Amino acid sequence: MSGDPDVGLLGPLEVGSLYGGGPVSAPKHRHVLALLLLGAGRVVSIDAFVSELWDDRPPASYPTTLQTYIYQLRRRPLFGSDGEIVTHRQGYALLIDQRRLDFVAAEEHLRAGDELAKARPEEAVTCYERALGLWRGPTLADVSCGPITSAAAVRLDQHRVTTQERRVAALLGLGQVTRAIAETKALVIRQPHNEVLHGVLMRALAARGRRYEALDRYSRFRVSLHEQLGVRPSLAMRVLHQRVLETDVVAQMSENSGGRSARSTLGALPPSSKPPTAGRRL
Amino acid sequence: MHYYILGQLSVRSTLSPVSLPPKPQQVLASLVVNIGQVTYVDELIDEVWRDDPPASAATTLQTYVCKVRQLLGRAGHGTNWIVTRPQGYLLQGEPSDVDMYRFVDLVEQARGRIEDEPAAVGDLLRRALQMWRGPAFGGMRRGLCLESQAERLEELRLCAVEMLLRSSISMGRHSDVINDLRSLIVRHPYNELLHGYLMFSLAACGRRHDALRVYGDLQESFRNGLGLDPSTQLVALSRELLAGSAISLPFAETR
Repeated sequence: MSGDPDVGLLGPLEVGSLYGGGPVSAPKHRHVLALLLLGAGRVVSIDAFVSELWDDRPPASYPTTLQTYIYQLRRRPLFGSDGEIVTHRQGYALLIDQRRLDFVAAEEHLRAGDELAKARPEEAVTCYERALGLWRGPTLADVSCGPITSAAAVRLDQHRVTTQERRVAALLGLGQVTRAIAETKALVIRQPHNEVLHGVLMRALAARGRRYEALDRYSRFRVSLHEQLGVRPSLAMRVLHQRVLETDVVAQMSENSGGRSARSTLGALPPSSKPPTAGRRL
Repeated sequence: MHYYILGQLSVRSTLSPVSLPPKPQQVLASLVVNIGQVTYVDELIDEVWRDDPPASAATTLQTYVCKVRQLLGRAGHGTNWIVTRPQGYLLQGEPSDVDMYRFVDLVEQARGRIEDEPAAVGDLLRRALQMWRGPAFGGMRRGLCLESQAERLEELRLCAVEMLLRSSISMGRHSDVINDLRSLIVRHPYNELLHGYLMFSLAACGRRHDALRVYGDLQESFRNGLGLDPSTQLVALSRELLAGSAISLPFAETR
């Protein structure tokens, strides 16, 4: 990688600070830029701009207005020498080195972490932490979102959660159990129905001689799933619960097969954002 | 300027709690957690009102920040500690100005040296644990952000206690830790690690019978209270004690 990403959406919009472009203060400009960045290297169609900026009900003058936005953005040294907004018949495209984009880098770190997770878990943790470190605040914090940007924000936030899940699972696998407990407990506050995180937390607590708390967490998780979504925990979670009850296996799971099999089972769970109907009714 | 959140929220070294209404206090605590970095208005609104912000949330938030500014201005000779940024605020300072970051730093240092330098680790952890004056963000109104931080910190505190015990055990100070363990077990009656450490320490002082009695008591309270058996690690230790063979510290493969 040539350097740290300097253009970003993982937080407030970040462009041009290195090139004297100054902050992009006009909300419409930020919105246009966010759209171009999300589609970097591809043509963003005029239709996409219309749907984003004007909710599909554009004023009659919209072609001129959009041209003006693009013109104003082009005049500023936002991306240095590399990176320009080009005009296409169907729309506009931002041509830029993808490695400069923070959300692209975050995905790369996540993928690199996953590749290392089995053979070199400590390096995998570093990759996950690098990815998480790219978030400077809430995703797209200062962009008023239309349908495309909102969907992108949801997707990027899901990547963030996935990276957090992988990180704590890797810490647990490394035997860094107390750290896994502390981090996972902090995460489940915002993810009360996340099975992967609850699975990690239960196994970590059990591994530190706190099976009572693991069981207590499970029953609170089960009740909350039932009351709020009308579903019950997945088979993998119920199996894990049974194993904690039966005292066995989970206690010695630093890096042995018990830990790994539980992780792969849990890793195969559907994402927590899956609609409730996907689960089994009680 | 120094900030303290390992206990009631306070500013500077007087350690008297800040006199702010609950919501401005929450704003100050959120800024302290993010010291040196921008805290975004959306994050503050989420912290203070969660899913249900009033229509006036943004304006109300400004008045809260104003109250916090006044308080810090009085405490810090009029310096402007809170800088306004686009869509957010930045509390000027370093993580080391906040007790929680100094605590975390000491625990991390200790974690890295636990195997090799138990004496140094003991000093680090005693210093870390002395920083606590009560529950994290004690008595405060908390949203999800502060709640997450509190969970993490309370967990690291327990981790520090456990590491301190372990460092004392590995230095052979068994009789010192026995009393500590007994009182901790009163507060955490189902914690098997603490029971395992106690059994090990008693046995290491030549009190195998007492160690076995601890195991028996735990077994009984697990069966009666939870309907469970003790974990395999403690079962193994109890067998070693009965056989009179060499014993090993349980839960030692995790840290």
